[in-house]
Amino acid sequence: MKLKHVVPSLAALFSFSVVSLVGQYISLLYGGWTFPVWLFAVIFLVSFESVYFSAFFLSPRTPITVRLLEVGSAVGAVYVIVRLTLSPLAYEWFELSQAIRDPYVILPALLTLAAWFMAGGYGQQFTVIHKLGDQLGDASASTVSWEYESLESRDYGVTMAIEYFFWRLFGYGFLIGVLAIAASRSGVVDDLSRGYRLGLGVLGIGGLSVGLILQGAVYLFRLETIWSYTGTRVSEGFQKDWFKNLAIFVIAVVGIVSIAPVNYSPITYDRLSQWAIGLFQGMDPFTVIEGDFQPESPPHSNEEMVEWGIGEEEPSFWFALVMFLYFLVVVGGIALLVLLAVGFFLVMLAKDELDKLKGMPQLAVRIYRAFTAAVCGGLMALRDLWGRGKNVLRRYTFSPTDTLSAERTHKAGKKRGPSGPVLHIRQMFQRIVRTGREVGIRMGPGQTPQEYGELLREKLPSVNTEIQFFIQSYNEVRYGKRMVEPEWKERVMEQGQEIVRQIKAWGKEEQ
Amino acid sequence: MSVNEEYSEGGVCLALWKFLTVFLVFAALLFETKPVYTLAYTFMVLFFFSRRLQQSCADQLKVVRNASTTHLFPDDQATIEIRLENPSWLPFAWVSGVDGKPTALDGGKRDKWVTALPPRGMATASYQITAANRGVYVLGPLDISVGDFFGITTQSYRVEDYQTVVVYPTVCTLTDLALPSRLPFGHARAQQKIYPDPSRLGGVRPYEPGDPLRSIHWKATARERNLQVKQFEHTVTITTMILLNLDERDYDVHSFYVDTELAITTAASLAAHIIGLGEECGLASNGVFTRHAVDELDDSYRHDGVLRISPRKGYSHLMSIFTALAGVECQSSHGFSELIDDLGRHYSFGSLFLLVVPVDTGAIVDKALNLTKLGYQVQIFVVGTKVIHRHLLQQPAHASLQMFQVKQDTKLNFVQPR
Repeated sequence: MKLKHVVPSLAALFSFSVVSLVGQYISLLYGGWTFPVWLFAVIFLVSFESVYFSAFFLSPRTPITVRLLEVGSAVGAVYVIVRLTLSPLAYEWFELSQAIRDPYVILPALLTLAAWFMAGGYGQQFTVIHKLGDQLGDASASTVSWEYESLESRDYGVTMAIEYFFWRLFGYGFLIGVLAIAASRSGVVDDLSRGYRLGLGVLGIGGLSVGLILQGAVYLFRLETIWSYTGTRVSEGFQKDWFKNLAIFVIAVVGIVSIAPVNYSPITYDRLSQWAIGLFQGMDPFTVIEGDFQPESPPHSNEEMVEWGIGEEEPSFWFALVMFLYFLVVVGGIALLVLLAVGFFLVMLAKDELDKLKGMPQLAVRIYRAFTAAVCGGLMALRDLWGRGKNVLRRYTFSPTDTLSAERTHKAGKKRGPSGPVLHIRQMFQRIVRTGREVGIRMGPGQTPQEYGELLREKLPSVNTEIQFFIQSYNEVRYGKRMVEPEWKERVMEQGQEIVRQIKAWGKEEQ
Repeated sequence: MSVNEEYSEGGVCLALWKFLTVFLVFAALLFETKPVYTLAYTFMVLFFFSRRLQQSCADQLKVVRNASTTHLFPDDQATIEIRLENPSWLPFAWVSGVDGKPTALDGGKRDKWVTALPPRGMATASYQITAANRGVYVLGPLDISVGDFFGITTQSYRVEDYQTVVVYPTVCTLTDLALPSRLPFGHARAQQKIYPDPSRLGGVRPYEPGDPLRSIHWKATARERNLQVKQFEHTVTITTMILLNLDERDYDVHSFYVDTELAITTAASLAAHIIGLGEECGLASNGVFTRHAVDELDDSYRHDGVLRISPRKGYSHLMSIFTALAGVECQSSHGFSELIDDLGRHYSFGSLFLLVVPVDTGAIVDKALNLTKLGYQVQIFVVGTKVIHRHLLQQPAHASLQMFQVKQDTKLNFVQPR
């Protein structure tokens, strides 16, 4: 079994599950649109196409036109199917401006696009993993330790092996969670048929299972790539055993999360919002909760008014969202403050032992250091601003002599760029590079002037000496801070112009 | 698992994911929706429970070597097997290991292996080693790493389990050592006909009065129709003792390694030759055992700081000699002359002493002459390039003191005892 061919299909299945589920929730929340059955097939096919295309054919050299054609054909197919399956629409085929405002067109198209992007992202990531050996560079195989991810030259513990996939699992799960909360609070879920609920459950649990299997398969793919590089002896049937054991694990996890109790929290959003409202009204929230509601009878007092109000009206979704964000900020802020405090004490107490810290204490120290660095940076910026402000004030308040001296000081403090002959030689080099780029002799981002000079000498053997002289002179001027005599500068410039001429001539010959 | 050391845990990243998990749990508790609960539970299982569970199950993991000792000849290959048992119900995604290996084995290249372990299952990991040089080596400790299916956490352990690898010295034919192939070892024809050897039939002759009845050759009598008696050869059994000089002061510093190895190879080859003839052979040396060989060898091999293996027959005895030679090294405290003096008093008249020495110093030749005066036969094998007493190289075959210069052929024909 070639793992490289299997893993993309898992990613496609996961993309299909997530997008389908999101589509289901959107159709629930947006009453004007129903998720059509054919869209399952379209999302399924697009997911598979996108992930396999990205994993096996996509490269940095792939023309953007190909990508546009790919996505255009998927969206176009959706449009055609919508037009064919629905009763005659109020606008013509070519009236795309009308079509993009039609939820029956735009929502399936957006979902298809989402599946395409999601699956494509996974596909590209598989290519990255497959080329992991390139990242290892010339590191000796014996120094590679996959256990600690040293191959990516990152500090131990800073990242997980398949972090990209975990963030996506978390992100998509979170998105579905938010939609589920919205659907639940809007009450649409209560009216659903049992079959529909079952479908949602199957999609959710199926998506979770496929997602976990995808995580495991990707990790195995990554490990196998490293093992093949390091020459590790992998036992026979390892892959089969891995998937068998992974299946056991996933079944266990899915079983646990399926039968685990839900909706038992004593402190829910509803109770908190009641409490908040009670707080704003200067009421005891717990009395409110335990009160005997009689919404039918009209309120006679302020207290009854509050009770009545709470009993009658469910908090809206937006209010829930605001509360949730508020909760997020408060909890996050408190956690950050606690970590900062812990980090401060650890830095003060541990000192030389900081490198030995792991887990949460290490995180606290890092956060503290990042915070102090940010504060220092901010203070430096403020000081700089203060200095500039003072200069401006001096310019207007001091005497002309003082102003002149202040300007001199300001200029002396400023970093000066190249000027005169040095600038001319550097500009000549830039001109050579520019001309070379126009005719196809490009200077790579990692190339040094010397390496570029060697490339030029290969292409233009007739000006071999000139190139060598010019590049050497450029290096001396640019990096050696050589004093430039006028005669020497003239010679360098002449050689440079000759090189430019030869590059242009070479370009014409090539054409 | 016999754990000596444990290292590894998550890092900052894991802390972040734990934080996100707690956040999800809060979200689930606040908003009371099944999908959020499901997600929160899943992340709790991944980042909290499964880590702890894996840690506790990894503690129960049993890592055992299939053999405690492996014996090899140079250039032989062996498979080192490590058995892993998972007594828990948790499957291990992967278990990897790497064995500590001395540089003398495959240049110290550490082979990593990986295997999967099902719940309550077992697996065997293996890797190959190639013996290069004589010696007693120790493999281990084992560095074992256990990981999950998602790369969240890895636990590493050091298992203090060792395996001894004994690499015997090179054994080659006498011809390859530039020695005569028919050296007079073992039983020798006795000069005085006192001890007829019943195992060596020399012929038959007519009966004479006084001949014992049990010496009558009944088949020959029937054939000749006249009483015939068996005529036995008169032999004496010669006990052969190899004395190996491993006093580093006697070796030339420029060729120390080559000469010592050649001396040990010579001793091993002579022992193999003699025991191959069905004779008794013993070994004594003033060398010391390497640290690892101390555990491998029987205490009875060591007497007063010297290695001594009494003469016996058989291949099991030969293997004991090889094992001793595999782990022996030079020293600088015990002189070879003292060893000769010590052993000269212990063996019976007519015993053969084979002295393997780097150089035939005057002291050694004097000691050898003294032994011959006591009735022993002595053969000196010089492994160094220089022979001082060259006249002894041309001694007749029956001389009680002979000397041979050992030269190692560049391409040796190894003899592997069966």
